[in-house]
Amino acid sequence: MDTDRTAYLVKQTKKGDQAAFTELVELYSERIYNLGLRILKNPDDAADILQETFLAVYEKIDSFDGRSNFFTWLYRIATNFALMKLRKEKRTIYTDQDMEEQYDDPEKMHIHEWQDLPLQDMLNDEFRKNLDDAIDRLPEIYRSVFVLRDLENMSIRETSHVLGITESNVKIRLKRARVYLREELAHYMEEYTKGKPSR
Amino acid sequence: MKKHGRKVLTELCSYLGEDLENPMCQELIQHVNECPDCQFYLDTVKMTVNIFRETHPSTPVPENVKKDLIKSLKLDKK
Repeated sequence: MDTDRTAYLVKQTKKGDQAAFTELVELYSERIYNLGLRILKNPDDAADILQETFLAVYEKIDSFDGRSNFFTWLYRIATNFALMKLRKEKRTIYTDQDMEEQYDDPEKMHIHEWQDLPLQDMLNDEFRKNLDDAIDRLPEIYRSVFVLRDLENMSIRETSHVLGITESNVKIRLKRARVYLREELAHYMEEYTKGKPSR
Repeated sequence: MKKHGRKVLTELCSYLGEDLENPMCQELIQHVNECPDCQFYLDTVKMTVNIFRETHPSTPVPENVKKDLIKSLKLDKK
């Protein structure tokens, strides 16, 4: 994204320039829609997040003081809306405590063998659904870190700013999320080789 | 996976939260480079992240969603 152009558009939006705001919406819609989709796994929910985010941006644009990056500020608003929705629906299965107990102590971990499979052959709808289900089981604090850092390619620092947590916390949560997903994937591959993918 | 000392395993786990390409923790990286099991484990975590990236590509915003957005923001009125 062109940060100079964004800064100009933000400045103009603050002055009430509708064309500038429209351009901001067009510039960032796809990123925000995909963020919602990756966290919530549902196109209707992603559309809601997109709308709520830009309505909030329009209302709060005067409070954006430019000290932080506009993109980070925007992501923070969108992520908060997505996480509120998740909390409301209580869609996750594992708790934070489960994650800590299972993925912090290496001696307690059951490390699944990794089957060397032709992944290109596995990239079908069922496989994708399994990956989505694995993300769905992640508690929100891990899901958001994984989505922002690994799917949205944000840096550790940006992720910490968006979520309002320390960089150390980002790293701890990212480690648990990555290890959990690696184990879920390895387990699925193990079942796949037996010819009975169970989840 | 062969039996490792708790220190190495704990450091390996902590390292997994870092940028996976970040050249930190030289002692650990050296261990990982010399230990096929740890190298393999780290590689499979990297593969996991790549698989999730590949299977979650960016999707264009559907036209009806764009229209609803513009309407809700009242940007369709001149």
